[in-house]
Amino acid sequence: MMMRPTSVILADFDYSAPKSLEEALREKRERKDAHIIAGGTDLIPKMRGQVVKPVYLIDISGIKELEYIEERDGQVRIGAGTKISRIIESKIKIDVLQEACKKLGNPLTRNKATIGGNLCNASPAADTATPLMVLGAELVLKSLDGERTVPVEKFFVGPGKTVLRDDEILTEIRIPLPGKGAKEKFVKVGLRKADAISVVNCAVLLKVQNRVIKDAKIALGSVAPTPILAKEAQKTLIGNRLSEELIEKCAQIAAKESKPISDVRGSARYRELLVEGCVKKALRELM
Amino acid sequence: MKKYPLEFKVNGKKYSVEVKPNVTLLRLLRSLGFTEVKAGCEKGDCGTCAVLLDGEPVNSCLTLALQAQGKEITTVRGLGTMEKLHPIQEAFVKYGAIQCGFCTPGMIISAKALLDKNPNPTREEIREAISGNLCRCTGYQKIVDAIEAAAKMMREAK
Amino acid sequence: MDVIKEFKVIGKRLPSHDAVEKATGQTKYADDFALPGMIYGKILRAKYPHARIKRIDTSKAEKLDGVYCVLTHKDVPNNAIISRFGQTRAVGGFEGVYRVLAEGKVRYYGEPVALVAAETEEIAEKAIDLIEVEYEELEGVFDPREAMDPKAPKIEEGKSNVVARFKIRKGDVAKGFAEADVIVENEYMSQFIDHAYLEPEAGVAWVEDDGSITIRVSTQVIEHYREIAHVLGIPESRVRVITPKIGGGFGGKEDITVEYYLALLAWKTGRPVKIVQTREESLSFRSKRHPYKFKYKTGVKKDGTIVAVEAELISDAGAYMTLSPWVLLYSTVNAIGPYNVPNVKVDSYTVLTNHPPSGAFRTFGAGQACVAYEQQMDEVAKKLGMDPVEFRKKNYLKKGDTMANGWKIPNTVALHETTDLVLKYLGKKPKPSGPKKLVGMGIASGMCSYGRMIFLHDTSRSKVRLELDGSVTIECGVQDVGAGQEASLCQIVSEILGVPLKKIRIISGDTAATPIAGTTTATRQLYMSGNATYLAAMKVRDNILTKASEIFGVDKSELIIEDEKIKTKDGKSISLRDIAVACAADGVELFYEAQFNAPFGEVPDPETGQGRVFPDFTYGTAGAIVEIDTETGEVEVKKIASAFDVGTAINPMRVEGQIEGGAAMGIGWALTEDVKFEKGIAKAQSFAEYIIATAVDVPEIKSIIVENHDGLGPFGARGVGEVVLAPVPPAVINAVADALGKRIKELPITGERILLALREKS
Repeated sequence: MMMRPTSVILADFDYSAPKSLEEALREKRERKDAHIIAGGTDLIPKMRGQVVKPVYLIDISGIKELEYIEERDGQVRIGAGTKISRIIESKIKIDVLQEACKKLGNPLTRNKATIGGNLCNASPAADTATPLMVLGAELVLKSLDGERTVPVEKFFVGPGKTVLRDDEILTEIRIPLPGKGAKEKFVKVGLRKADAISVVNCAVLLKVQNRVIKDAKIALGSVAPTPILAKEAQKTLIGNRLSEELIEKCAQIAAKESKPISDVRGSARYRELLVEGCVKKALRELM
Repeated sequence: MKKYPLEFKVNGKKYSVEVKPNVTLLRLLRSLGFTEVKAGCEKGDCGTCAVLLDGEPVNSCLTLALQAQGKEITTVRGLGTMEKLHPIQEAFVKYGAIQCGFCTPGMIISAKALLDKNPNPTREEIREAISGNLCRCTGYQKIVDAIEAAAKMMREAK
Repeated sequence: MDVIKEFKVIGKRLPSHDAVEKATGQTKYADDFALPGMIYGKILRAKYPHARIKRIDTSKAEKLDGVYCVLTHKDVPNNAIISRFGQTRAVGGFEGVYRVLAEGKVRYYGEPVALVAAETEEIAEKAIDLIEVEYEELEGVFDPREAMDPKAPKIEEGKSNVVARFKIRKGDVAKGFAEADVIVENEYMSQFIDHAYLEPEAGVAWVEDDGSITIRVSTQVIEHYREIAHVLGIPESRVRVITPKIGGGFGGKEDITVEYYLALLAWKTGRPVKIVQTREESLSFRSKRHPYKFKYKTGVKKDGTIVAVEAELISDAGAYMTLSPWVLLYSTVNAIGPYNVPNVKVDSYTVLTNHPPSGAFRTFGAGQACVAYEQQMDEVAKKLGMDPVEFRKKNYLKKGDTMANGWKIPNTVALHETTDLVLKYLGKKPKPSGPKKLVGMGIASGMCSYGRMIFLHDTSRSKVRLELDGSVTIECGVQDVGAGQEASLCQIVSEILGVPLKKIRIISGDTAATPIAGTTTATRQLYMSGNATYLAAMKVRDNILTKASEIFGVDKSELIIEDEKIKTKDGKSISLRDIAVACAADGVELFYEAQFNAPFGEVPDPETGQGRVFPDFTYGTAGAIVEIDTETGEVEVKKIASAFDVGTAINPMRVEGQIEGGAAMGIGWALTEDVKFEKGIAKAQSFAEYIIATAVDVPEIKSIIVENHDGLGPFGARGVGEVVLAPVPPAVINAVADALGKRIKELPITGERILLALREKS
């Protein structure tokens, strides 16, 4: 995003800091034009650069009931307000998500950024989106009227756009535990090794039995208006065993399924080549 | 724009102020005289604004002042003074980890947070922990040396 | 004067005198200072890279509550300044205009058009938005080669865009090429790079009781007070510039940054004014490293002897000339590198374009030349089938050789030594860590001058005063960018006067209160102010030893100074406190202000470029091992080492710090840093797009100090601040070329360029 270069001050806005989800939902119902702020790691730079000018901010960073990671009924449930650093430290193991969290931002921003914020900011490069997609996660969207669940791959509709209604708040991420025989990998390429926005990221989840792939999910970030599942590439793996040839074929198909654009971080062609490279890397590690 | 009351602690001292919601913690702290918290980019990219917020290192430029409500903030001045340096500060001085010094306050905050969680880090772990703190002068070499040495000093003091 | 036989302080790894204050956050940089009643300045900047200004209407901005004034070019007493290089001597030629605020037209995107001073930053921002400017867009030119064409849009009406050119003619290249067995021709480039100091440009200015102006600003050159006075149309004695500790300079704070705007706003409003630039302003609009395009043609004999080099260098000066001719001269003098070549032809040009004015940046043109000549050395070696190290060793300059511009080298050129040390550390090229990886190793040698161009007749002054209690005050106009400019002076005085560092105080960087010590540029402060301080301290030492010799009745040569006492050989002693009191009682001076002069020379011959340009050079070598992931294009620098002959390391810890910092900066230059201008607009606005190395992006950096003790600085030191950067980028670039088996010439060598190159190959 291009910032207005001379801006330092955030534009005026009205502000509230509800202490409970109920309060927050009531505010959101009343002020449909309100923006939600949690960690602020995406929103505040945008506000400083006059890219976004909220008139009303609902600060949900004080709502403790949105911060949790628990295992229940074969699912991992993560409160949307949970900080990225908490997910990394959690004893509950969801490798592909935790790998992604370790590479999101930098150690300082990880103490403020929330998983809900990363998803609602809906950048195609969002590092938590692709792992959640391969995990088959569902998102719980609440309003005063009730709640609905949306599969994560249906949550994003475009860069910065989600299916969240203007009176809804994302409250929870539900992740089915991958189970035995699941192999996961997250690969991210940025312009440097740390503190970088993904030029391309990719998450892979394979369900394997007797070395045969029963199910495969490959999610790609930063190569389309939203994070996407490489469905054709996934199909090539099912019923087969991993081999160099299969990995090569799968990666090339994944590259073709991606629809990257050129931007300040790289060209479309570069991203296509990176999809190939990242998918190969990820699959080879799982071989 | 309305002002809101804010109560918080900085380096153990209580502050009671009224702030507009659009003020970042960085700007509030600097206006209260904590000029050791630096504005290198005001976007979360450089780490010069790092402070401990309830013990956790964060970019104060990405924190609204009101988000510090009821919380405790530690800046590098809260770790040690010229008369009594914190071991991390001592090590930075002794090992030549400071050149222009602009990144130093934020760097020391990240180092403190690391050593609080991991008293015996490897050099890779040190590099990872300060990867959100940019330095243009030192190439990080002596900063890593200093944090490693401080960790040893602190372990031996226990 | 006696000579100190054994160093007690020089050469020791002592913590810098100001490390504690920085570690505890005490240091007040430019933005950490405020005055009662202070107001805030902001800059309205051009929206086009090249456009005529048809109308400026400031009325709405002026009416906004809380606005103190709005200024445009017509409010500036002398808006157009002739840039004439040299604080101590005005050297003619290359007189280019510089404008404080845009007048008539804007010449680069972001050029300051108007200034606002307001009660708060918020109001100042709003006021900027209320200034109406009507532009008529003009065709811009963004490539220096294109800008050389007489038909290209002119940046300065009626003047050629080529603002300076230099030549070197040594021997006869036609004859040389005729004798060559192999000729290699190549083109290279160097990109727009940002200084990326962590402290953005900032300062505060105020009006003193007597109406004079004081500016406290982060600057490498306090002597800009003269130009500031000229802009305001007031006497130079009525402008004072003070620099606090600087949060990184690297040349980016050598040009004027915010001083003019601060002075104007304070002067017009009568109030203290602060201006702090945003990171986006700093990255998008301030001076950058001059991009270069190079053409090199090298002729060699089968046995590896270079017989001829012909080079063409073209740099992008940006929209205003500022320092471009001098950067070009540095590149020209350094064009063939530290090699002995009998026949040399160099032609260099610097050309105006609609980019922000390019400026000084660590190595000042010598580094760009190194990027070119060290890549060319590897290419020639490859063509010859010769080992790149052996090829270099065959041609390295040595003491007594003559450089391309006719200067005969009087001291050690430790290139063999530094190269061998670097190779020893790197060891054998390792095997790739996996099947999809490639490993490469590269070295590069470089040189950088220290001390300014001798035709500038550079001088520096420093004053040392022994207090009555035996402590010491140093007053010196040195500007401290964090590289030990102050600290080295303290260490020198500590050695000479036997006073511990904690009893030495240095006051620096104040045009009204400290002797003028010249710019913190051109790697000159240790050399110039170090020598001046050495002289001053030695004079004080001589005075107190003379007094002590009277008191003890022995010859001065029988006395030593140690542990704050003057001691005789037979065990008598007097404390510095007592000797100071004794001197004061007898009217013996306890202070001395010394001046050190660099060698004074003249501008080289414009037709041949022959003539000494610099006092001396520092030489060294860098080496790198890289591993490339062929699937993602990512490059990891696995090992890096550089070695330099620093003459004498006043403080090895600080010298290592310079080498290590230079290595990280060099890795960025080679692999990740690019401001990415597109039609004059910088796409990399923040540190999220302008990629410098984090602690994870650099390996353990091995810094190697070589000391041959024959530099021109105090105790035989040579300057190191810039040379430590020069050979690093080409070492990394050469390593990548070694890994890939082909050379990528577009810099930086990003993962994208690598992946695309690998694809091309297959």
